[in-house]
Amino acid sequence: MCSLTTSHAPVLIADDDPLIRRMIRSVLELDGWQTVEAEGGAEAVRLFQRLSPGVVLLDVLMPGMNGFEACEQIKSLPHGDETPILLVTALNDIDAIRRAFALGADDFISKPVQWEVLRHRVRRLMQVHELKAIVAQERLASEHAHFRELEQFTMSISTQFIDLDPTDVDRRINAALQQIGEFLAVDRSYLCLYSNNGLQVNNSHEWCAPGVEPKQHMLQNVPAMLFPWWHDRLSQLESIRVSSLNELPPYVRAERKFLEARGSRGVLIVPVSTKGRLAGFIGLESTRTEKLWLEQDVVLVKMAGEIFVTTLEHKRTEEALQSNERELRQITDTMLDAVYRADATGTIEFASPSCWHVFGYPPESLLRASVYQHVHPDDIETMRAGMFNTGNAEHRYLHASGNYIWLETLSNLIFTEDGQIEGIVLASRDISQRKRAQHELQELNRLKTEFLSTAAHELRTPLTTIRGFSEILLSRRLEADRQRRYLTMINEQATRLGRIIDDLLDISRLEAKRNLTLVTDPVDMGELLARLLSAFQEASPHHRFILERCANCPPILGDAVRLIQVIENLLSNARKYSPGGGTVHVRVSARDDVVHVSVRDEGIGLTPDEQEHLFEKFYRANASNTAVNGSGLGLSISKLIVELHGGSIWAESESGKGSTFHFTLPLMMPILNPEEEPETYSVEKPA
Amino acid sequence: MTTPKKILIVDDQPEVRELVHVTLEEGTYQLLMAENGDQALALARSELPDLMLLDIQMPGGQYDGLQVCRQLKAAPPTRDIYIIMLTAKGQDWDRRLGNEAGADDYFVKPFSPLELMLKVDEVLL
Repeated sequence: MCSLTTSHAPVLIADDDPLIRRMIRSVLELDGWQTVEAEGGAEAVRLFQRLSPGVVLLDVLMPGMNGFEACEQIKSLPHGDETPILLVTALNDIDAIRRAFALGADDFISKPVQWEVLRHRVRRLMQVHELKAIVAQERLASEHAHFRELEQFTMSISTQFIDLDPTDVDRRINAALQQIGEFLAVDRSYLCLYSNNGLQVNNSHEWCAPGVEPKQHMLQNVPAMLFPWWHDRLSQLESIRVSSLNELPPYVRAERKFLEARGSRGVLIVPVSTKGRLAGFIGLESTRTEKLWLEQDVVLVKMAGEIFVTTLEHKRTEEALQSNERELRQITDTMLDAVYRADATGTIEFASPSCWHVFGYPPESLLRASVYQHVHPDDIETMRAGMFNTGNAEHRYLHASGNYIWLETLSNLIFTEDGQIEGIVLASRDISQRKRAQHELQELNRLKTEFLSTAAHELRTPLTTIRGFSEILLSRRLEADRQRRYLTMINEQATRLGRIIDDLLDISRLEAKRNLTLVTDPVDMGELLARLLSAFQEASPHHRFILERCANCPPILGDAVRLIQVIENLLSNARKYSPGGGTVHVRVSARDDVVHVSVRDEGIGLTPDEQEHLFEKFYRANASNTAVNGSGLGLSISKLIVELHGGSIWAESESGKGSTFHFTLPLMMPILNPEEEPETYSVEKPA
Repeated sequence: MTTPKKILIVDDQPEVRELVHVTLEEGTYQLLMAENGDQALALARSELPDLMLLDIQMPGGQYDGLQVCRQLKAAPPTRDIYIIMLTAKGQDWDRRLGNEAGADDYFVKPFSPLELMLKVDEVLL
């Protein structure tokens, strides 16, 4: 009768009477069961834990822990539930029987034990036990297999979302929804997201099984409160399992109508949260049948939901970042200032394209170099102080062209969250022009002040004579020839004063003209000089004027009146500084691209010191010589005029041996042929 | 009978020298002239005038008026010469320069000859 002979769990026999134990043992062992003996209840419990028997036989009447207690205890142990317990009771003890069943015993047998009955009952109980075990194992195995499958599925989904390109995200989500839908055998799967204020819901991604109608349009930016029952539970991050529409309480109307409109017969809604807040949910719908939703399904969907939401957030952040970077790049690309960033050690990490324009070096060549590279060594400290204190510094910088330029560098330190210096952002602007202008202005102001004070002095000097002598004449009676003499001096000084004033006005007008273009006409210098010289010769009985000129002087572009002023000044000087008379030799020639005029006298000449200051305002060479009177402005005016024409003026002289004054003026057009020898004319007095 | 007081007139401009000369000639003074700083120093030391009229700006020669004044005031006996500076620059800082050089007084050109005469009489009589 023992069909089950291969390894079974033992039968545990608990009885305080060893004889009974032995007898039961031998009977059962005849059937092929293994047996284990326990003396009392406590030992039975212990042995049960250790050996996991297939059936337990407990005598009710045992000293110490009796059978009832042992039964109770064993049933509460792991596997106790599944292990059949047979209580051995006294005959007709109804209470005992009732109690036995109350304690969870599976069966009883009454003493005196009828061996056939015992054998039968043990056999049956063992069968049941073993069948249960098999079923349990199979279920476990299948659950395990299912769990494995689930695990692998989950892994494959999440792998697809690693290192995802932001542009790929939507496609991946759709693919994942399909995979989940197919895996869980549903007809529709979708993702819905809440708006930022949590008041609206939008169905962003949907998958439908073939033949199932898409219903994405139903949930486009609809108010979340349209489905109050669902919304309430989702807000508490509770999943919603609807296996069939009948499950829905009658007051849940909106949701029911919604499902009916979609042809859904069952739905699983799993909330998705991010940072502890409800961000959206995933919905799975079954349209063909009602569906039983398992806990592991919820787990899978929840995980997928979290992946979706995290990925979407990541995509949003990436896009915002890229858009910011684009904006920044646009700004730095079009900026004219050099913008660059360095780390905490002062090493440049980023340099805008405009760095090329300002520094002269390509931005790439500035990377990994120090911010102080190319800064003038004397200015490094200034720049450092600016970077760490005021955020503003002016310093020199070695431009790629090899020259130093002036830069104004604005900077901002970047700090980490705990206040450490992480780096610095800088912007540099070329202010060389500004600096130059500043210096020029300062210089101009200085010159102006000097000029004004010298001019005042020059004006006061003749005035002293005028005032002084007129007061003397008014306050005293002097002899007639002294009267006459002083009146003459007053007159002369007044005239001189007038001339000085004229010259001052002239100079100031000419200086203002520096930045304007002169009115220019073609002028033949040869003709001009010929005319002027005859006039001068007439007025100079003690001197002889000779002119050497080219026959056809190429014209220059200029202001004839002003040029006459220059020539008259030079001729008058020549006469003044050769008081003993003599020859004044004037030469006009053309060479390359200029006309060259020279005026040579045989007078007293100039010392080297005088030559140095010759063209300065108010400078009068040999001033103590009373024959030399003039404002001292003539040559500086001449110089201005010549330079305004684009020419240059200079003097050669030796003390005691006369002087030669030269000036050049640019020709209208350069000469291509070499010059012919100029002819000499003597400027004769008219007959 | 007191010896006539000596006045040294120093200016590079002959017109100015003549003007000062005419201004002071009616008084009983002995008038000496100098054209530049060097002459002024030499004459001052040799003649020891009682008063000097000294132009500040004197181009030519080694010294200008301020230097002459400073030198003369540095040591006896020239320290006692009463020095009046004549100048065309009347700015405040010019006055200060004059003061620092040790000048006793200051006249700005164009000056009034009468005022100058009154001042000289005041100092010397």
